[in-house]
Parts: sequence; C-alpha cells; structure tokens
Amino acid sequence: MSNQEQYVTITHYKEREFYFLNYAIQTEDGFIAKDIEQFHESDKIKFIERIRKLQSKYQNNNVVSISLVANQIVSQNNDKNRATAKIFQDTFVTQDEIDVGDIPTTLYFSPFAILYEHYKDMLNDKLTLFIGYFDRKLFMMFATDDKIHQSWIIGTRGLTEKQIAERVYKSMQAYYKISYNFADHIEMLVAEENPKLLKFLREELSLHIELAQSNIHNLLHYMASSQDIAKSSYIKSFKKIEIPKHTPIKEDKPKEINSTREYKREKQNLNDIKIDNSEKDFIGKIKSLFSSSNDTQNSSILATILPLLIILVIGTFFHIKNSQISNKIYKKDIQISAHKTNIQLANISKNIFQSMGKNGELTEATISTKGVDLKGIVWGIEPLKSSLKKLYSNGKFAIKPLENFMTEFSFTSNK
Amino acid sequence: MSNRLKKISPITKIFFIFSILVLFLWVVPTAISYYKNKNIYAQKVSQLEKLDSREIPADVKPFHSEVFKTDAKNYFDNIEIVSIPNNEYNITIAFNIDKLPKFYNFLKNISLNYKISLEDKLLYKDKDKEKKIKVNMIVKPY
Repeated sequence: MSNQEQYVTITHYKEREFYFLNYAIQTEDGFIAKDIEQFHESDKIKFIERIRKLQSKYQNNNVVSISLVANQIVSQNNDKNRATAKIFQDTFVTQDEIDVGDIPTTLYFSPFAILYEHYKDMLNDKLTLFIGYFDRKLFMMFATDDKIHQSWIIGTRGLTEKQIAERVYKSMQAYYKISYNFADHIEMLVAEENPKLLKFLREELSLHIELAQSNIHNLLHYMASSQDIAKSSYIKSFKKIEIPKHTPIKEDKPKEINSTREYKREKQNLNDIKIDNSEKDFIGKIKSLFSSSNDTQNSSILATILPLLIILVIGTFFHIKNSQISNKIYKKDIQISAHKTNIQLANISKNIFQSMGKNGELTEATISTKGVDLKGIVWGIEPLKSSLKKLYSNGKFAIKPLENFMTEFSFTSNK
Repeated sequence: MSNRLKKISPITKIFFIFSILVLFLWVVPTAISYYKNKNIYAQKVSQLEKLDSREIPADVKPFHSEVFKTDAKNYFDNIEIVSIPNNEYNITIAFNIDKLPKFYNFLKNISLNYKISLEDKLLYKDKDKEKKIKVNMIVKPY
C-alpha cells in the first residue's frame, strides 16, 4: 500500500525552548510511533520543513498539537468569542485564542480533553479529582460522570514538590468551601515521571493516588486516532479520519505498537511502573550483557555482580516493605493509645456529671485522665462531697458562700 | 574443584564474600523483621477491632477540618475549629446538656473515625443559663 493511503498523525508541542516532533502510522490495531525528534527554537524553519516533508510523504495526515497555556478553563458555556472545544454534553474547554505560532496544525487539544478521554470510563457519581501533569503544570479537574464541576491549573516552575502538594491541598480546601464536597479519590496522568511529587502529594493529601503515565506524543496520537475522540479539539476543520483496513506493518518496521485497547489498560500505579521499569532495565541490562556473550569480559562482570545485584534487590524490597509496615504499626499504636485515652475521658466526664446529680451544677471543669479540677454551685454539700470523694478519695473539696445566698464549691484531685 | 576455584579471579571472590555478608547481615535480618512486624500489625488491628464498639465500623479518615466540622454538625449545634501552632487544632463544641450522652459517644469514637489524637484535657464550661455547655479540646492529626 502506498504512503498516500496510510493515515498518519504528526504530533508536535513546545516545551521551554524546544519543539518536539513525532509521527505515527495509525492502524486498525493501534498506532506505530516513530522516533521523537527535537528542534531548538532557533531551528524553527527546519522544524516546519520537517512537518511539511512528512505531510507530503503521507498525504492522509493530521498535524496534532496540544494547548499548554495556563489560561484555559472548563465551563458549561460555549463562549463563541473565544476558542472553545466541546468535551462532552454541555461541557466546554475555553481559552482566549489559538496560538500555534504559524506551525502547521490541524487538530489542537486541551489537556482537559485528554484527561476526560483518558478517565471517562471510570467516572461515577462520586467526586474524583483528576490531575494531569504536563509541561510542569498541573491541570486539575473535579468531575463526576455527569459534570466537570471545577478546573484549575497550577504552575509548578520554581516550586518544590512539597510546595506543589500544599497548593493542590489548598485547591481542594478551596473547592470544599464552595461545594461542601470533598474528592477522596485522585487519579493522576503524567507526561513525565516525578515520584517525589507523587510522594509529597500522597503525604500532604493523605490519600492514595492512582498514576498513569504516557508521553504527550502518544496521548496526542491516541486523541487523533478516531473521529469520535478527535471531536473534542479546538480546531474543527480537520481531515476526516479514515484508517485503511490493511496497513503495511512490514513496510515500516514498528518501533512501538500501542493498540487503543491496550492503551486504556495501561493505567498503572507508580509501584507497577517502578517494578516494570526496574524489571525492564534489569532484563535489558542482562540481555545486553548476554548479547555480547562473545565478550568474555562482560560475562565475567555479569557473573561477578549478578549475585550481589540480586541480593541488593531482595534486600531493598524487604527494607522498603519493613519501613512501610513499621510506619503502619506506629500509626496503629497512636490510634490505639488515642482511643483508650478518649474512652477514659468519656467515662470520667460521664461519672463527674452523674455525681453532680441534683446536688450541684458545674460551671467550669477541667477533666483529664490524670485528675480533675471542678468549680460550680452546690445545693447539697455533703451528698456532693461524698459522691466526688467516692470517685477521687484524695480530692480536696472546698466551699465558699456567695453574696446571692448561694454556695460555690471547688474540687481538685490529682491521681 | 580446587583448581576451578583457583581459576576464579580475586575480584569475583571478594564480590561473592561481600554478597554472602550482605545476605546474612542485612537481607535475612530485614526479612525476619518484616515478617515479625507483619504479625505485630495484624495483632494491633485485631486489638483495635476489639476496642471498637461502633455500630457501623468505618475506615479511619484523614483529618480535614471542613469535613470534621460538617460531620460534627450532624450532632451538635455549634462547632468551631481553629488551627493552632504545632499542627494542632482547637475544637470548641457547644451543645445542650441533654446531648451529653451523644457527646460521650462522639468522644469515644473520635480516633476511630479520624486520624487524630486528643490532648488529655477537656475543658467544660457552662455557656449560659439555658443549660448549654461548651467543650474545648485540642486535637493533633497524625
């Protein structure tokens, strides 16, 4: 089949002073992505020429980009004076204008549209916070299955991971103040791995956060892979997406095949990713060592370090697990001790109020498990004194006549 | 056998001995400690379950002042939460004296419902002549 018939998505975006370019051949089984190319902004002409070249080589194409501006919002209004894209039902993402800087672009997506597309199947009536981490910005949206309730973008450049986590927490607090609803489930889609940020977010919010990771190009290839998904873009006049039935995979040796179904299943948490990555790296290292098996030096290095590596991996695994369980035990201990104190405080309070009966009335009481300090008005001096003495035999009971013919009592005890 | 051992390079031997040392001095003790801690944790969970007298047991939630306030308002007329230094919160609850049993129950379950520990000191004050009392407590989230 000729190049003209193949449907190709050419993706690009700018991060700091670099343009990143990639293209993928879309097949019925998913897309076959090629190598990512990088151009400095001073090479913009070269970068545009490369896009044009790809366009002429694959005439059935869409050039896809992403809006990483910070002033886009999700709202229920279709503001026709601004660049607007429908995400679903009456929910739109809006920004002032489309600025692709004279670089060819036929489809232009918002990270909010990508987040919605990525997580729409898991939405339900419970409020969930979705966070997208692209270009050092956090794109946050609070959503249920029928509505996106609120969206925010937090810039993170120059901030420490802890400061970022604090800002996310403040956003959640701010959202609680306007809606009295608290998202106790968070999903995060990251374009680049940042385990430290995830760790601080989990600590600051005291919530488990599920993590999915994919690079911006792959997310864009997926967004432009079918007419249905591509409709949530800013630019409407794109070429109708038609994927040829038989795409010549043999012709273009695939570097990476991501089927749409597989892509959806890729949602992994950090631990999975870590294990996968470490396994991949480890296996990769072993493979690379074995691949040059003719080289005896390599195999002897492998034989030397392999047992140590295995032992270190096992040791690290148990060390991490042990720290986690020690931390859980520590927290459980605090909870048990706090619960016991609370039961004691509740029982002491109950006994004190019961001992007042009809003989007195408390005006002020300081109650702790170590002792009590009570003050109030007494009507039956002896009965009150004896009931308090029953509780605290060493307590000091004193009375003081007041000007209004009433009598004040005080009782102090220390265990 | 001894010849084969002799053929092994000294660096390989050193690595091998080092691996054995790491295994027995670090990996094995850490693994034993992990399995011991796992048992201890299971015991703690069961200890807490025995102490839990709630009708409907629920998981402990992280403390969030707004969520706590909203939950407590279901039981009491007035509740104020003020953040104080050392990551602590001063909570003041006002209610009618006939709601004391409810308060005892609330107090008993507070650490089962939220990740907080209470300072061992409660301050009760007669709020006014309408049989209302005000309780002051300091909590620390963990």
